Amino acid sequence: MTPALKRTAAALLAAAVLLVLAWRAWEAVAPLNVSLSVMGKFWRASTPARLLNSRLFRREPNFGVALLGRDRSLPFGADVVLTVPLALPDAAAEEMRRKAAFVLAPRRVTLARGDTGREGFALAADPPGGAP
Amino acid sequence: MSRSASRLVGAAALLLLVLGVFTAGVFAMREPFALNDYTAIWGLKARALHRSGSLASLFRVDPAGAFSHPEYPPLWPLLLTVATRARLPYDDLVATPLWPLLALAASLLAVRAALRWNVAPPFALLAGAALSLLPYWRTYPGYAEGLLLVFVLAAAGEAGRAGVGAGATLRLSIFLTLAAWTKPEGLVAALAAAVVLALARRFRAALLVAASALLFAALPWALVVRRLAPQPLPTAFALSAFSFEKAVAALAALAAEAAPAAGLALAAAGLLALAPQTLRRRRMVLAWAALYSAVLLGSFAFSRFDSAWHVRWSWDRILVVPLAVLIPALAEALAESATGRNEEPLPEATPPAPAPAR
Repeated sequence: MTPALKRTAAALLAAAVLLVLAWRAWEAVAPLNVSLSVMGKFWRASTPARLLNSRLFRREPNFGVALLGRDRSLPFGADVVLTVPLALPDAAAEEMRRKAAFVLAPRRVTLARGDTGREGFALAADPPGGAP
Repeated sequence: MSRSASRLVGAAALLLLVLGVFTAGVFAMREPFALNDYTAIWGLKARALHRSGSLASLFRVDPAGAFSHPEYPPLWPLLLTVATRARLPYDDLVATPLWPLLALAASLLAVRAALRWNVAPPFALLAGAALSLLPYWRTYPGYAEGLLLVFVLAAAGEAGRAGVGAGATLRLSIFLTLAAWTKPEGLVAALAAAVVLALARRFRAALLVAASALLFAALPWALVVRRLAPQPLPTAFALSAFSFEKAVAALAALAAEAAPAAGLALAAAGLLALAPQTLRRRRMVLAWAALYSAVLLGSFAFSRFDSAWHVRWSWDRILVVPLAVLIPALAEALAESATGRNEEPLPEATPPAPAPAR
């Protein structure tokens, strides 16, 4: 292979890779004005509003509100039982537990199955009466 | 290459680097960290540490080790905690500026590694640009590999002189020990580096790297886990879990997952194939990347979970580390092909050979 051909081939390969990567990077934030607008709203919001509007609770704000309420009312020393409906699939129940553990850290969150009423979940201190 | 072409390459590289870090920053900072592993592992631990101020809280939130991997080393959650210390209560949005900072640091360390390997500055800058443009930065904000990349790339910059200069060997050991405090993969990175150094007959450097990572990271953290974990923690891998079917399923899943990136991988392989001198000079780096990838991808055959699921969940985050270390070598290969010059590194200073005894 002649040096000129080698130079051209290498330049084309590198340019192609960098252009693909740059395009993907741009796509991740496009349209930029929307990304910047979302960023502005989040940075102006309060800490609870940020959490409730994050991708964690966007689809289940009631669950987020209930967790924030428990987080305010329970001491860090108390643990929490999250009760979910019997019919809820295991993966969905586990996802709810992880979200609860995240918001309520450093408390331990255990999962239980049972009657949850219309909300679809119930939160209780473990042991009962852990709330002040 | 002419001076104007060199300037053009440098300007394009700088522009791409800025684009990479800017998009990583906007992507991470436009909403709080809240992705899967951030919620289940890193953010959970950071919040627990922030509120309790105690390492014991890492084990209390998940005493059975069901989802948060309490046995993972704690450096990234600690850094998240420190970064948000000024803000009470813990706020996941306040931690997000760490992400573009890590992307910038990793990019600059890729530039530094390339410069230390005698790559011309415009091409070294291209290495930094490519690093900042890796999709990882815009796919997994808040995950621990961002910090791991910084330490591993800092180590890559020292690898060439490790075993030759005492300072470089010490710095290599420190960076890889910090990597081992970041993720279990960091310990694999350190031990793989030790193996490669030993193969290159740099035995003292190999010993120092391995001993430092084991004695100053793996061992103390194992003692903390043993003391604080209320019960034996489950592991994701076990020798007894090996099966040939698992290995085949993992391989098939890897091939299917990685297929969309095949073009990029072939382009990188093509660049290296065009630069035989770079291939020869960077054989240690290539050997490290191959060993690191083989160990971690091979471990899927020992997964206690469905190995295909395990691969789909983590293959790209595993391979981003060796890929990042290969990027300065790719920049060197491009420079070799584009300039037609093969700048051999200056010979290391060695003491004069003693005169033969008479």
